Amino acid sequence: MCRSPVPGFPNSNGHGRRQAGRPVVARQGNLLIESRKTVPIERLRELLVEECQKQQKPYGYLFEDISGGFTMTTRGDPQAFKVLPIVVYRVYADGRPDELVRGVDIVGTPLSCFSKILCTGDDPAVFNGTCGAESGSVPVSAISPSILVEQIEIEKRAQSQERPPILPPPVSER
Amino acid sequence: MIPLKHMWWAALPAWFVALSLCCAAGEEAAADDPLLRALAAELERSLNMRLEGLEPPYFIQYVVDDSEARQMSAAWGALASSDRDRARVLSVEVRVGSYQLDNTNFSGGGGQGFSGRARGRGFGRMGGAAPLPLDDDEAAIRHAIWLATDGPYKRAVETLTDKRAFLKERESEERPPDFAPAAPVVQVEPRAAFEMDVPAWEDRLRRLSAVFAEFRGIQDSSVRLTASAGNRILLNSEGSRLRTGAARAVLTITARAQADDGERLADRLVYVARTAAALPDLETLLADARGMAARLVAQAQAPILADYTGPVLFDDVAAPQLFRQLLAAGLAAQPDPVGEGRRRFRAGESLEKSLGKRVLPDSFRVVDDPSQAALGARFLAGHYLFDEEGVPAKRVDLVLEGSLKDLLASRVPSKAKAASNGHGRRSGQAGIGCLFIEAAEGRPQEELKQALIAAARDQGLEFALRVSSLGAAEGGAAEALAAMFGAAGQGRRGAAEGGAGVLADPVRVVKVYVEDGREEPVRGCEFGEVDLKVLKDILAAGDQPVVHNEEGVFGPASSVIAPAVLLEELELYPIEAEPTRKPLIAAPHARAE
Repeated sequence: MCRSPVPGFPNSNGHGRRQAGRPVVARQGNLLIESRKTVPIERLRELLVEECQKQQKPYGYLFEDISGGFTMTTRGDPQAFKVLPIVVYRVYADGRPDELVRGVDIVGTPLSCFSKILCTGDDPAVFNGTCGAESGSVPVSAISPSILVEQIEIEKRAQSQERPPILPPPVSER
Repeated sequence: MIPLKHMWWAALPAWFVALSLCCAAGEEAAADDPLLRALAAELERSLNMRLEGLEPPYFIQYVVDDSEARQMSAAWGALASSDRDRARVLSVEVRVGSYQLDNTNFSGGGGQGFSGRARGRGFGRMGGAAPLPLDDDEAAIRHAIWLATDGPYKRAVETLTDKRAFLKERESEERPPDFAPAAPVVQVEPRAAFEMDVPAWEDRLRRLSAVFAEFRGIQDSSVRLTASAGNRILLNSEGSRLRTGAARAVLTITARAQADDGERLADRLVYVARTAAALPDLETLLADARGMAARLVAQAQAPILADYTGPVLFDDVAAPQLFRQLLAAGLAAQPDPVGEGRRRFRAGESLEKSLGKRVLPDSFRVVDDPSQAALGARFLAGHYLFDEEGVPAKRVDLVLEGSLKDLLASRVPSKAKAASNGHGRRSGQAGIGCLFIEAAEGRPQEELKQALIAAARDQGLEFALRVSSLGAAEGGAAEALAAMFGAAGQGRRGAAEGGAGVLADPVRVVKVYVEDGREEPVRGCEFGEVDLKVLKDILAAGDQPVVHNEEGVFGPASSVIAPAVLLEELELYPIEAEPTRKPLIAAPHARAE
């Protein structure tokens, strides 16, 4: 909350933030995610494989790193989000080694997505980033353990038709 | 395919001949310069670039602007900014096809919707720009050049395919070639470096900006200094290899005032010199700033000019400004691109149809000569030895005895001009360098004033107008932009830049009374439609040339040098605007203690 009240929240709780020169709105600072249903990280991975077997899927996905994401906050748009992963593995239910894959984005709506969290790991990690919104870009942190989600929607990322450079890079000449 | 290859191989020896014969010292310097070596290596490699089934480039040009700049500003005695800027920007030009028909001069085919594909490809869109590493690291520089060349080539072959298809679908009209060959030039000068006493200039700016606090009528003001120095490197596949130094300093002092009825007024002093050290001394600048402030305060209290039709004397900087705004653009030969998106030129934008005809009185001569570096003690910002396309600057006699004889040309041919005359200024566009307007039988200022009074008397007027400066214009693009969107402009036609048919608003303008020659400032007026034809009716000219330097960021620097001129008849109207009120509280410096 910032100092602009909304129904049910009459006072600021010290989250009025902005970039230089922009008007203030309520923004995230350090967002901490904690869970009571915690398992060791090794066990979390086993649970992923078990969940795949239970759902009779050949594989599940392990997202290790993302470049960012966005969500829509304006009234006319659907309340949906998109996350842009960088490092993604297929984790096979039959015990084959993990396979590095590319070209997938995570999409969804927050409430249905988060209601399908099964449990979390014991490995809280810090994500430091810059969050952009009506009041500009502000530095933010999110702290969360690994999470196992029962069901998630992914989609193919838009691909460029561009060819790689015609000539080899100059260094390869040496 | 064969003629294409032949053309390239014919070009290669020219490079080596030129290098070995005329510039042994330059070659040595070039060998020491990792940037030049990197450009030469990637240029040679890139000429072999090709997509299957399509042609390799027939022409590649690299231009690197390698510069260091310092920008500082101050207001009301305090430094407001002081930034260093170091940049090395590569511009890549890739041409595919032939000199006769290539990927340029095409503004897009039809049938691709109202935006999108067609739009990005116009003429001028033949390459790209990319920053290069600042360190003299040859491998790192080559890597950046490699990536910066790949995209322009791919776009070039795509555009050429589109253009060929477009031309096939149409009746072929007689078209000039797309590009004119130019003899290779080689000149490698020592690398220029940036030097400036930064703390001393910061202090000068503080002191200069403080003088406006002495004037209660000044509402806002700023003093801005931009100084840069650097090297321009040009290499092309025809064998040209240039490294030339360049330095520039522009000091702009701006003051703003607001009349009681809300009209905003602004005036500025602009000094252009090669280096900051060559700018006028502080005492001179302080006196000039005070003079301008006093004049602007008086102007803000002056009455608004009612409708006026009659003679106008343009003197001081207004004279070269008048010629810049009415004549300069039209002196450039205009290539006529093919394609759906091509636009018609407005009257005054091209004088091609006036070739051989009278555009000025018989006593006038107009010459563009970029090789002139100064006029007496005055620096000419439009001076250069090689144009933006690497073609040596040439003097062009444009108007002789009042008749238009020639046009300025870049390497992009037009119907009137088949080859460059060293005036390629920006992305293939021709433009002025140092434009000299000279009049035989020039008269001293006092005689001109008498001639103005006589002309007004003949027309039965009570007074005539003398205009000494026009809006915006002199100075950098930042100033022009500020004027366009800022206080002086505010959405009215013509207020800022002038342009075809429109003259910028007069800033310094006085009534000269017929009965006793006394002068009274006026304000709040703008010119009616002004046609180039008014220049044919110049009644008299002065005997003192005045320099107007313009330092563009959008376009290269140029100078117009012209004497005062008396025009027989112009129309001026009061500006119809709805100005905002003055600030509710007086400025801190204007409050009574």
